[in-house]
Amino acid sequence: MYLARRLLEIIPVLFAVTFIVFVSVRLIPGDPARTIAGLEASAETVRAIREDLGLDQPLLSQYVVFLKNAIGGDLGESYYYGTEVVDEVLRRFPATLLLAISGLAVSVLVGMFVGTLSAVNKGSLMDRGTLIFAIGGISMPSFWLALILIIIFAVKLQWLPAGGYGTWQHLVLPAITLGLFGAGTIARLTRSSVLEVLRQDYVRTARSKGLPGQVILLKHALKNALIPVITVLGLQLGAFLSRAVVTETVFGWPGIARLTVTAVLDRDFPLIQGTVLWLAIVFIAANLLVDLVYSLIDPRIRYA
Amino acid sequence: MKRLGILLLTALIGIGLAQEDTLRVLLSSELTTLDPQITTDTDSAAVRYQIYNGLLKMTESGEAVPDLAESWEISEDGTQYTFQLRPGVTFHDGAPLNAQAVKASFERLLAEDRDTSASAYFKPIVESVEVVDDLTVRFTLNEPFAPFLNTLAHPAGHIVSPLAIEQYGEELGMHPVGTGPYQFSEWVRGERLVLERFDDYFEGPAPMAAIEYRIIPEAATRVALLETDEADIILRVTPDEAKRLAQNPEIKLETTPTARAMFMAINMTREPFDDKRVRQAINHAVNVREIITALFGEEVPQLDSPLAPGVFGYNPTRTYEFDPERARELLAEAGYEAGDISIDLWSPSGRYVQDATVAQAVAQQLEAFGFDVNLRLFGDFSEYIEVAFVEDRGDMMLLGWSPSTLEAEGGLYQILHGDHANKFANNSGFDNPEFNRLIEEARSMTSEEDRLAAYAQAQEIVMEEAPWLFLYPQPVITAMRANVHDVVILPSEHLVLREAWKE
Repeated sequence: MYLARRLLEIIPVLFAVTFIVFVSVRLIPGDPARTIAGLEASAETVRAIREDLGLDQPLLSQYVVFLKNAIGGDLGESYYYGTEVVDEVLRRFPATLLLAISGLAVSVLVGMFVGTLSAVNKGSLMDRGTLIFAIGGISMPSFWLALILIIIFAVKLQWLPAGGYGTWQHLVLPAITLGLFGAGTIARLTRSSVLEVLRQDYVRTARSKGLPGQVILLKHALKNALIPVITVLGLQLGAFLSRAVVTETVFGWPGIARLTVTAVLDRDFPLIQGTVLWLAIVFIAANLLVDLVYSLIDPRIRYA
Repeated sequence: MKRLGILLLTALIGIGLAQEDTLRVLLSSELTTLDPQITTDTDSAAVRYQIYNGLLKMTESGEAVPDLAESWEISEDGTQYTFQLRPGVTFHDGAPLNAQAVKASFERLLAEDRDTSASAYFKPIVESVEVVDDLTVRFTLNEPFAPFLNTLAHPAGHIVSPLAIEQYGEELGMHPVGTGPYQFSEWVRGERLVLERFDDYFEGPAPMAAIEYRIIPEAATRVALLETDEADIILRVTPDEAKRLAQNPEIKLETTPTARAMFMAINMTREPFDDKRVRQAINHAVNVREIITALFGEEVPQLDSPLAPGVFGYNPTRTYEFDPERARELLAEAGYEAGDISIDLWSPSGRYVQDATVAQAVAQQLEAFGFDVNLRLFGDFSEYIEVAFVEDRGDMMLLGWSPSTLEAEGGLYQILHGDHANKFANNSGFDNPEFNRLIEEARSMTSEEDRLAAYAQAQEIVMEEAPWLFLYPQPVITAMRANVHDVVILPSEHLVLREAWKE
């Protein structure tokens, strides 16, 4: 029931997203026909291209055509590449998904490890170091971090490729760049929730029963610490995507975030609409997933 | 979902190529299409140079020389061009190159429903293409058009296989078939494009087994990939990066001045810029030589014509030397003092080599002279051309203009002829009857000598009238591993790798 209602709610949201994107891309200055034709083209060529693309039609009728096609799964053709937007988006998405999952894994593993370590050693030097790590992770610009990683690990040490795509080695630096951002936040959250849990009665009971510290930590404390971490992951998805744009650009990663940026620069309207719509779907799906995962981890959370 | 899984898996495993036999090139932007009859963007066209040939090709000095055509004859009245084709040439798909194939390729380009930036080169001028015999093809023009040979040498004139036209139609961009030294192998959009040697190439097999192009948008990453030997060639290196790379013995740099004239269009439709003396004063008030030397070094010249050297028809006239005294005199003659004049100076940022830096330097010098300058930088070129060409214009706008056929016609007509004044792309609003007449006459002259004389005179007029602040031909810096040889950068900025090889 809950799931069905949530799924129904998605429809108006997507509707609004398409409308806002449709109108706003047409408000940014820059003529797609001129971009396609090139600077040197004559006014006649530009006009012919504009007509060919249907850009001379009224905005509303353009939107209606777009909606009608979109419902049938047709997002139109990219102005710039002449290929189907749906194909372009699906072709690019796996690279971003791969990067996002790896980045997320780095965030969660590093964040929870550091956070737990810091909670267990509360007040120590390591604890303070964690705080610095957390603040650094959040405030470091991805662009800067990416270039530092490239200089250290690619140019100086020559351990990993500086950019490109294809092997697992290519994945390491972008995943770290994307992941360290979330890791700081997660470390701090983990620290406070582990500390919180360690104060609970049942932990004291477990300890008094003689259970080893590691078991308490892994079985009870960490499991409870997961809830806020997941919440934060859900909330940070948007920031995550915007960081992905920079990460993909710096590392030459052929993902959908970079595609969106290129599409905007080229004024490739159908491609912008397609990528944004797709990212909206991913965003919504991820949030839904977060909500469902809650109830798996914490049986007390139930949705009516 | 299953398809996604498979894609994800292949993404993880990856595909490697034997590196020794592959020339690895990094591009900064997405390639649009490999169909030469659609767009003409520089990077895609540069890739197409390896796949296709035209009837003629461009040399490094901007001259059109035989490629698929061995020789040609031009009729007395200048409207018929008859080409003798090179015998024994085949397309990658086995189709023979003959007059029929050339006709088919051009008919597709000239088709009524085709309105692309590539077709715009030929549609207004070519009336018909006919087969004379198997290896002879004749072009009939609407009217004499002297720059026709240079136009044929432009990548828009690349010849496409007739079989491929039939088989792929509008999908040709993903399945390009030409007669060039490399044939299409694989294209993963946004990631890489691979070309393989075509063994039956008419000039003998190409030196490399394959060429791999990869797209890396971030300049710093491209430099890092070159330094770590993960790439062989990178384009459009900034002068700063070049200085650093010059320290590395494994890397060599080439600075090529191109046919792109960089200038600031002065809006002649506004006071006080409608006065020639004010425009000349602006030219004398800026130390262009100093800016060039600081940014690019001695070897890049100052513009002494609206055309860059390397464009057919270029004629050196004179440069405006830095002379604040003269500038003040000119202003006084026109009845102004520097402090009376405020200048809205606009520039794109990131479109041309060091554009924003140059605009800042110019603004600073004009300020130092006493003008009141408001500099506005545009980070997004689409916005710049829309705001600048459609809605409004500043008083001075930084632009780079490259006649893509490397012909005086392209460098003068569109950007300075009165027909285009105040419209795209004559942004100065320059409309000089004498200049207009010379350009119109020159395009239909059959004597090369007369035509060059007319262009030379036209260039004199432009220098005298000073509708621009004249800057320099845009230099492009290409960096490559020291073991890479015979890389050609045409004045049209195209990277041609037909003969490139590596030790």
